[in-house]
Amino acid sequence: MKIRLKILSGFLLLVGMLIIAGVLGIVEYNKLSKSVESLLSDNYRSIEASMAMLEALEREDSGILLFLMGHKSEGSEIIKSGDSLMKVSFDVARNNLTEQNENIYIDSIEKSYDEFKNLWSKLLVSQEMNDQMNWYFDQSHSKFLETKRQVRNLLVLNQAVMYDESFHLSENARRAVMPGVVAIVAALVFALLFNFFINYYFVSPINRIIKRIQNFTSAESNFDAQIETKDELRKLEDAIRNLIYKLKRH
Amino acid sequence: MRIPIVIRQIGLVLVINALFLFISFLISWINNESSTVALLYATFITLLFGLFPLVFVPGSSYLSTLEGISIVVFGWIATCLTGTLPYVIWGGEFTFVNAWFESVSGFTTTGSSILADVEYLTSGLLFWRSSTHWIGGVGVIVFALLILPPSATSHLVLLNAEISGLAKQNFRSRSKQIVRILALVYIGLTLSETLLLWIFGMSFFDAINHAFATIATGGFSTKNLSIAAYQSVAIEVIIMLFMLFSGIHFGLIYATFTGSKDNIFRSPIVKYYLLVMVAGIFLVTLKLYYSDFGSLAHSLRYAAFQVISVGTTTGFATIDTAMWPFFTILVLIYFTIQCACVGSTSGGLKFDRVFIFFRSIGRQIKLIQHPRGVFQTRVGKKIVTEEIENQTHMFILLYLFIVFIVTLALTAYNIDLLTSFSASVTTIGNVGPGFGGVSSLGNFGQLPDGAKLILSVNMLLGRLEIMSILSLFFIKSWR
Repeated sequence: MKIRLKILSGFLLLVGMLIIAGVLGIVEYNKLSKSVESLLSDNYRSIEASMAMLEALEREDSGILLFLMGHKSEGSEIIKSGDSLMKVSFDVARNNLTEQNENIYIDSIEKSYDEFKNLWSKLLVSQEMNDQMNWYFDQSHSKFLETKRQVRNLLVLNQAVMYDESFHLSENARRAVMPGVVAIVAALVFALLFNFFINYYFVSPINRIIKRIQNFTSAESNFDAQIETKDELRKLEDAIRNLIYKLKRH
Repeated sequence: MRIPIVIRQIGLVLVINALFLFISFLISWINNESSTVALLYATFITLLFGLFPLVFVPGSSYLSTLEGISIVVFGWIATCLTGTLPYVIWGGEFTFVNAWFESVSGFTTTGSSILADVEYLTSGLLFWRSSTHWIGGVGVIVFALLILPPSATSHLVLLNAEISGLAKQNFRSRSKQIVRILALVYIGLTLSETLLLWIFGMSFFDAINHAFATIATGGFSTKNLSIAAYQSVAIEVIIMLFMLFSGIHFGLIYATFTGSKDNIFRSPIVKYYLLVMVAGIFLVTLKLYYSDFGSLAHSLRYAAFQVISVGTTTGFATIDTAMWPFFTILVLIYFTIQCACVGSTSGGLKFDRVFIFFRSIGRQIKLIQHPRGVFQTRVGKKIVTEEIENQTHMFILLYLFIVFIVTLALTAYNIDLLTSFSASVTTIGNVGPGFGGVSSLGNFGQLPDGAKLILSVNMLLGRLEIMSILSLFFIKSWR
C-alpha cells in the first residue's frame, strides 16, 4: 500500500471514530430529550391534574361544612368552584392515559366522584336537612375520603412511573455521554499508535537512508537502509542503490 | 523484539472479538434493546484497533519466543480491555472496574460475576458475556489461530506461548493439526450440547449460551439462579456430562472418536481424574445425607453437580453451597485447587500436575528406602522427565504462593478469611464461585474495587499459567 493511502487510512479511521461517536451521542441525546418530553407530558401532566383534583375535593368538602353551618351562599359558591376545578382536572387526566390500567383508575375516580356529587347536589337543592352532622360524617365525608383515595391512587401510579423513568433517564444520559468518553480515550490511544507507526515505518527509514548515504559518501560503505515495507520508501532505497551502483561503475 | 509485529497479531485477535461483538449487536438490534448502540460502538472501536495494524504492518512468517509470549500476554490484556467496552457504554451495574472484572472473568473462563441481577442484562449483552467464555475457552490466541491462518512457524511459537508443555504432550500432532483437533472437538462439543439442551427444554438462546459456558468451563449463566433456575434433572445431567468432557484433554477426546489407541479409556490420567471425582461425589453425598440435607438421591443429585462443576472449573450452580456443612466445603475447595486435566479448557493447577506431584512423592519414598536404586516417575507407561517433574513442583509452589499473597492482600481490605481464601483460589483456578461472601449464588460485586482488580490479575495469572506473564517482567534475561 502506498504511503499516502496508509496515512490517509489512519486519518480516515480517526475521523470515522469521532463521527460515529458524535452520531451515536446525538441519537442518544435525542432519545434523552424525547424521554424528558414524554416524562413531562405523560406523567407530570397527570400528577398536576391529580393534585388539582385533590384541591377541588378539599374545597368541596369545606364548602359542604360551611353550607351546613348556615353560610349557605358562601358554601354553595365554594362547592361549585371546586366542582368546576374538578371537572377541568378530571378531563386533563382522562385525556392523558399513558400508563397500563390508568383507565381503570380514571373510571374509579369518575364513579366515586359522581356519587359524592350526587350527595352534595341533593344538599344544595334541599334547604333543610334533618340530622345534618350525622349525614355529613356518615355519607358525605366518607364518600369524600373514598374519592380522595381514588385520586391519590392515580397520583401514586404516575409518581412511581415518573421515578422509574427518571432512573432510565440517568441511564440514557450516561449512554449519551459514554460514546464520547470512549471516543476520546480511543482517539488518544489511536493517535499514539498512529504516531508510533509513522515514526517506525516512515521517519526512521528516512533517517536510515540519510545516514547510509552519509556513510557511503564519507567512507564508501555498502548502502542498505533495511526498509521492511513495500511502499515508496522501498522504491527510494532501490533507486538510491541503483544510483550508487551506476556511480561506482563509472 | 519487533513491536509492530506484536501489535499486528494482537490486531488479528481483536478482529475475532469484533466479529462476536457484531453478532451480539445483531441480537440486540433485532430485539430492539437498550444495548444496541453500546454493542455497535464497541464493535466499531474493536474493529478499528484490529484492522489498523493490518493495514500498516507487513506480515511476518517468523516470530521469536519473546514476540510469541508478548503477543499472548498483551493479546489477552487487549482482548479483556475491548471486552469491557459494551459493558461500560451500556451502564447498569457496570462501572469501569466492574466491567473489567466481568470481562476478565469471561475471557479467562472464570465465571465469577459482579452482577446481582443477571436477568436485567439485555440478550445482546448476555450473548456477548457467553461469547467471552467461548473465545477464551481455548485461549484467545489459539482461538484466533482456529480461524486465521498464519504461517506454520508462527503457529508453533504462538501455541508454545499459550499452551503448556504438559498439554502439548498428549497431542501427537504438529502445531497446525493441534489447532485443527482443538477446533473440531471444541465446535463439535458446543454444537452437541446446544442441541441436547434445546431438545430437553431450554430455549435455543439459553441453550447456546449455556453450551458456550460449559464447553469453555466458564460458568456464566443467563439466569440469576444459574442452572437451579431450570429445575430439570435432564438438563443437569447433560451439563454434567459436557462439563466432564470439557475437563478432559481434547487430544484424547479426538483420539477416542477417531478410534486411536491413546484414547480416554487407556489414559491413566483420565482414569484417576474420574476416580478422584467419584470419591469426591461419594464423600459430599454421604455428608449431605447424614446432615439431614434430604434423601440420598437428593444429596447425590446436588453433590454430583457441584463437585463436577467445581472440579472441572466450570462454576455452574444448582444450589447455594454456602449453607453446606464445612466438610463438604473443604472437599469442594480441594477440587477448586486441583482442577481438571491439561489440554482441556479448564484453568488452574490441573490434575496432571497433582498426579505427577503424588507420583514423585512415591519415588522419593522409594529413594529413601533404597538409596542406591534408580527409580523413575511414570504416568502410565510414559516416563516423566526430571525437567517436567521440576517444572511441576515449581509451578505448584508458585501457584500456592500466589494464592497466599492474594489472600493476604484481600484480608488487608478487611474481607473475612474464608471469602478471601476462596476468592483467591477460585480466581486463580478460573473456577468462578467461592465460599463465604462469594458463594455459588452470590457475587463479587460487594468487594472493594482494589480487591476486584487484584482478583482480575489473579484470573489472568491462572489462565496464562503464571510463567508467561512473569517471564515478561524479567527483561534482562531476554537479552
